[in-house]
Amino acid sequence: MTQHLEITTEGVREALSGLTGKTGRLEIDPETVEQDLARLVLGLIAFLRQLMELQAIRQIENDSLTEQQQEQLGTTLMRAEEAIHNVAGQFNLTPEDLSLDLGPLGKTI
Amino acid sequence: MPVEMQLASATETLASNDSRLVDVVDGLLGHGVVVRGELWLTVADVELVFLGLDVLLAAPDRVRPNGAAQ
Amino acid sequence: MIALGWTAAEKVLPDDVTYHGRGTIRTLAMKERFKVDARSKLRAQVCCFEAGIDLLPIAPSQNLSPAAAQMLLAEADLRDTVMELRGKAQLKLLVQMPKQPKVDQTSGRAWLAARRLHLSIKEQLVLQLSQLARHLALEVAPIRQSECRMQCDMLIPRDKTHEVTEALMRGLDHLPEFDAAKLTVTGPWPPYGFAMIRQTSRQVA
Repeated sequence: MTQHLEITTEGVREALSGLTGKTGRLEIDPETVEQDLARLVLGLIAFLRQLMELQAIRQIENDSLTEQQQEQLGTTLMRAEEAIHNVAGQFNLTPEDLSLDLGPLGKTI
Repeated sequence: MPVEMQLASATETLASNDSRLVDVVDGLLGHGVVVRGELWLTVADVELVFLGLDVLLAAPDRVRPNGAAQ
Repeated sequence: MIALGWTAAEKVLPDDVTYHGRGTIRTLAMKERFKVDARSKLRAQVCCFEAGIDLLPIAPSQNLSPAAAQMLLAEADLRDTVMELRGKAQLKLLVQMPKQPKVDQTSGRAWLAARRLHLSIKEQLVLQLSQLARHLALEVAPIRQSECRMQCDMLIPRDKTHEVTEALMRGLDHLPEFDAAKLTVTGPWPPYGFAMIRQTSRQVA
């Protein structure tokens, strides 16, 4: 099944609008400006990392990756996730704070 | 058989503090008719930047004809 | 005033909600006493719905003025959708799965394989849910998923809410056990998951 990978413009738009949370706005408060910007940027990065992970899994299913490629991809994606979570932690953001509602694609993180 | 099942009316869900039901409510806030994905960057209630998010991301096999599996 | 959705109903509205516009389909709008947040809009929509007013809901997180909503009604061909969704409600199924187990952090391949397994369990579950919905002849909105959570909206006839809910619970009870998944059914809700505009319209804000 490839339903996870159906990426439509609508889905992406909706995904990104998910960043704005409940208000339709990303409010940048002078007090929390760093955290708000970090949330925007890390949310987008986390979203792209997730897309790459899904794509990697799909390619494994298609038998189009060698063992070595799988090892490299897996390691990179795993470390990228760790790195994103670490940076998020420094801004007091949880992985859930970076979550994007992808509509039909699914909420990523 | 699933381990746990739960049934709640809309009113119960809205009034509940149960984290799963709170998740349901949070999920609903972004549903319904949405004009377009849009992102306003605001500072102190002043709307500064509007991002019209007309982006397209595609899986490589949808871009490259040789990988077109579907 | 802030728009909540559109309706063909001609019933008495709850406090704080008024009709806007003329014709068979009108906009429902909420008086803005205080700064209205998404949650209070959701509550007002549910309140209208439970008073027997079928509505095509605007996403609570979106702010549209009643005038903009009237324009959108004409521009985006929402009239058909309003009529199609008359007498309909949705049940919302939330599936929660345990967090992904920790895997061997030294092997990228094992890590990717664990992700793949988790994904395939979710796909199995999606398949089972789709089959159940088909068996019950229910229309299902695209299933939304996050790492450990899935949300499935099912469109049901309002006057058969009780029967359909019972049948759904029975069906869910007979699903194979999926990785200790917890299921929550809520509703009936206004048909949020079925109120998408397919074509992006001009911005009317």
